[in-house]
Amino acid sequence: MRLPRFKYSGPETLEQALDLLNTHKDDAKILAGGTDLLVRMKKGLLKPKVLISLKALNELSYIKKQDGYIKIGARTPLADIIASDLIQKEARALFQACEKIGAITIQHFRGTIGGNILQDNRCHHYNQSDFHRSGRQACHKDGGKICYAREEADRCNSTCQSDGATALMALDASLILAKKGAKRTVDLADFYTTDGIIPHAMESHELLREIIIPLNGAQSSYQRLAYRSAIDYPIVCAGVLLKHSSKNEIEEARIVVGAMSRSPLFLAQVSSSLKGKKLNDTIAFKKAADASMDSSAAFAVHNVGATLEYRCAMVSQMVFQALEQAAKCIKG
Amino acid sequence: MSNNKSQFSAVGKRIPKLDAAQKAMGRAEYIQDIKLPEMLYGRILYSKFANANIVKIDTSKAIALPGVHAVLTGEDVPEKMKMGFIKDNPPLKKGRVSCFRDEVAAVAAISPEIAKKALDLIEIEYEELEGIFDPEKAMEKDSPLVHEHLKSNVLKMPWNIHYGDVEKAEKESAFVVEDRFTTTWVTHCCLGTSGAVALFDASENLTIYTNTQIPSLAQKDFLEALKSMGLENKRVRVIKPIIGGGFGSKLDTYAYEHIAILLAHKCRKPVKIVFDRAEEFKATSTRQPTVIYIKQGCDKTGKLTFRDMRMVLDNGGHTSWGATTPSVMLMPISSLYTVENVKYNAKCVYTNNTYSQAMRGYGNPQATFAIESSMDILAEKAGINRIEFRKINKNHSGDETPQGLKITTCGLAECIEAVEKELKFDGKNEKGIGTGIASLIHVGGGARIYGSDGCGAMLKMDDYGKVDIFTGGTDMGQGLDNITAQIVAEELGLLVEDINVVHSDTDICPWDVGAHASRSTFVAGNAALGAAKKVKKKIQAFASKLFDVPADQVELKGKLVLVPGDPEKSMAIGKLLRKAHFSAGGTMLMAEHFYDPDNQNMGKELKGNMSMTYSFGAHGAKVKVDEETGKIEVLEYVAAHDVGRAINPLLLEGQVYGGVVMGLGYALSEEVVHKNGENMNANFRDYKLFTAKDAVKIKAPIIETDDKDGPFGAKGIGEPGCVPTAPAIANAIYDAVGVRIFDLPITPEKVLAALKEKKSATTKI
Repeated sequence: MRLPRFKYSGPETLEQALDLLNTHKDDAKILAGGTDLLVRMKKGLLKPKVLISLKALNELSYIKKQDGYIKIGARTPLADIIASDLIQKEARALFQACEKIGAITIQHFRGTIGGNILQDNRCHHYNQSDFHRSGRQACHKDGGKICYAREEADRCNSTCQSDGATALMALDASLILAKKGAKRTVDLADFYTTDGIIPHAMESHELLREIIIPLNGAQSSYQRLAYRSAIDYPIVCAGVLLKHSSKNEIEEARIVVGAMSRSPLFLAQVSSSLKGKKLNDTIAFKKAADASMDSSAAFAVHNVGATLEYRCAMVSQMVFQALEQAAKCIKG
Repeated sequence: MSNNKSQFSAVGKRIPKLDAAQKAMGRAEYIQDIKLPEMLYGRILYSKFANANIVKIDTSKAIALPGVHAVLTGEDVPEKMKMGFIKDNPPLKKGRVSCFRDEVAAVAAISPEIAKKALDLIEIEYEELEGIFDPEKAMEKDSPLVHEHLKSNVLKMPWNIHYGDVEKAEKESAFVVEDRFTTTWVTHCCLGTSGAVALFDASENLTIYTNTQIPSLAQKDFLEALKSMGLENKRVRVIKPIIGGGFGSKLDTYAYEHIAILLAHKCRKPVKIVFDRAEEFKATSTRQPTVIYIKQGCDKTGKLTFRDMRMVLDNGGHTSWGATTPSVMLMPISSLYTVENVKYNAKCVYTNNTYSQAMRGYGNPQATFAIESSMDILAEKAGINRIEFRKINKNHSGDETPQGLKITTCGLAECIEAVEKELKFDGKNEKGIGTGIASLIHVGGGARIYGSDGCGAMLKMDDYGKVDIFTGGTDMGQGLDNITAQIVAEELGLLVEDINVVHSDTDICPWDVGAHASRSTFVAGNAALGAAKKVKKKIQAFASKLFDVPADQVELKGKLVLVPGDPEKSMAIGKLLRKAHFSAGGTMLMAEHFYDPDNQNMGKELKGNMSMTYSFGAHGAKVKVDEETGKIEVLEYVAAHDVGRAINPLLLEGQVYGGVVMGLGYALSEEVVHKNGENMNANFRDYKLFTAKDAVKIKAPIIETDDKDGPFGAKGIGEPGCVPTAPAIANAIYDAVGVRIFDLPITPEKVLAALKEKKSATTKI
């Protein structure tokens, strides 16, 4: 499959990039590693007139500790995040998530954390070549009126399969979005529109600049299930954050289930049910895991190649494993 | 192991693939790289439905697009131009489409982009019809017909045999087991996608560059194609570029080749058609899916009494080699282990699904999955250890099986022992861990499927001791070039670097039936050896006069022609060759040999010694089952094969590793997902081919039984690597957690569902 024609711009600084974005707006897309964008363009899913490459913007590639936060540039390669001592120790869920993304070659040469968060939602009915899609009515995400994943659905049910986003939401991360002359901070949880067609609350002239993770002495873990050991998106995944008191009790928990819905699902109720529980309360963990499954099952549709039954059942597995792992890190 | 290995100078050596450096440097010329002057680019338009009438095709806008040289539809295809061995498949469909991959139109244009644009401009009106996707339903009397001019969806095939008396044997059996297994569509995933470049000369002779495993048979197919176009008595030249993998996917001739020919003829320019990866997934044929019913029985001592198998094969919309897989499946059915009473019936049924062709193993993996799973089930019922059970029924050298296969060399026992040595089969594994074993039989000395199973080789020596050998054989990455060079080098006392293997051109190379049935080493190897032997005789005759000794005292070693024990009587081979050439009545040394093995066509009852010798093997797997997620981890894998002799152990291991990984994908994760006949996972992300990270460490013991008919004792090894993998895994899973999966691939979902069922069944008690 061939790429549609486009104009390539290679800005040297962030200012230049924001300027270009401001000029072209909807006609332009940002190109980092391109592992999501270029594949979609080859399938004819989108045809931006201009690609603004971040290749020269090394200023967007960094990992630092500052003012009680971990700050990561959006264009930071996944390999850097995996190799970072800071992230392995203080934001372990992110480390575990990035380790599983793609394959080692992608992590080194192409994948960026920003790209992973901003990947488009997926659905095995939508992510097909334009020839395949030309043989049938267009679905919601493709500019039409029906949904192949859920009969009679009046909205798109595509899934967010980002490992990075799930882990970061568990870590209570925020994003810094920049546009020409201004920037704003938004909680990752608020960044999602829950609209399958346009999943991110971001203007076309905005660029993701930085990811901020609060350092609060909590431990985290990320677990994901996939068929193969490389390349595959998660069938289902879970990110968990546990903050503990001196009494080895859980002060705060954040349970996020990913790859089940239009955005990662932060399960507030299930998370708060763990408050006050002991770190070795396996029964409480099991209960929370099953409750997570119940809460997220309603959102899932058959659109990522695995059966619904299996995915839902595995939510419980992934959440449980993540809770156990995070608790172990605290004790260990 | 053979004990005279040390005497070989080239055979038995671990020599890297001759074109490895070229390939690694990106200098190998694949079909993708071929560029000819004035060449046009062809592209094919496929159907939008599984089953539909073509009401109207309007190509006017496409033809009008600047840069487009030709647009063809089914109307432009000569009536007699049909593909497939039963000739039911025109390269462009007229009037009706019977599956999603059916070709309905094609264009030739000056660039690939314009060709694609032209396809988008072709307007087709279809009348959609209800599709038939279940072969067992399609078999029923009142089922709608896929092809309305036929009386039934069931093909007329001879797959119905009965050796001995199965009913009687069943009555006399102490233990009988009966089960149903299924295998589904998987695909070859060759590194290089399909493609062809066709061109005609001024006299309308055809040259076609194509990835083919059957250059001589393709030549015949294309001559017929030309005849159907009204071009009689023309020449066809088939040239093979470097082929990026075959695995059976290039054993037929295809729509894209015929379409390239039609376009090239119409445009009077070369036309190139190359598939992109999505097209490769959707428009090439898969492995034959099967529904298998198997019944096996044994007596009290564990001796097999009968094997009764019945299959339903989804033939898809048209016919390719898939419908003949029963001819090969009969081999393990009648001859894997010794069993006297065998019954086999296979029905091939048209549906509106995709259609299948040859794929590594050619039905053997499917049949062996059922047989070897069933063997474990039967062993358990009889209360006999599963390894013992196999030893009780093992094949022996000298056996003649019910199908008439004559077993000569047979290393099955040694292969099973090699597996036993590496893995524990005593059942004392940790929780969730288990081991499994499965054996194989495959043809190892050619396979007489056609009237000829032969291969020709022509050899010439130059003035310096270098050799050109022209072989009908095909290298598609599996290493026939190396094997040929090593065999010739060994026989003539030369270095492998001195041998130039030419196998690319039907104008130059002799006839060969094709690179299938793991026959290349055996048949092409013997052809090369035969030619080398003839040249050696000529050299010995010349040297005999020169050295004044009887010819049989002359040896060729280390690039010398010499008489052992007499240092005076020794000459560099180049010098001898020049002496022969540059003298009065000079001669240059050349020879040819056409080797057609002494095997038999199967007769009416499908009986006959199909191959001159048979390869055997046994695989063992150790797996860990995650009982929470159903995921299977392969901890260890042993693949032992009786190969006669390893001409090149390095390449042999490569064949085994590759075959095993392919077989593991087949067992655990690969599946072409169809939704109402439409391919839903036409890319490597959604088609779960094993990645490098999924590959496991494989031990590959090589058992050498030194077959007297093979070149230097060698038998075939191309396919065996992927034949018993699925049952080895299924048996290991059963050993680990007590559940058996009967339907491939063995996905985590299936394992989990089976575990759940087992749990609820036991708690009910």
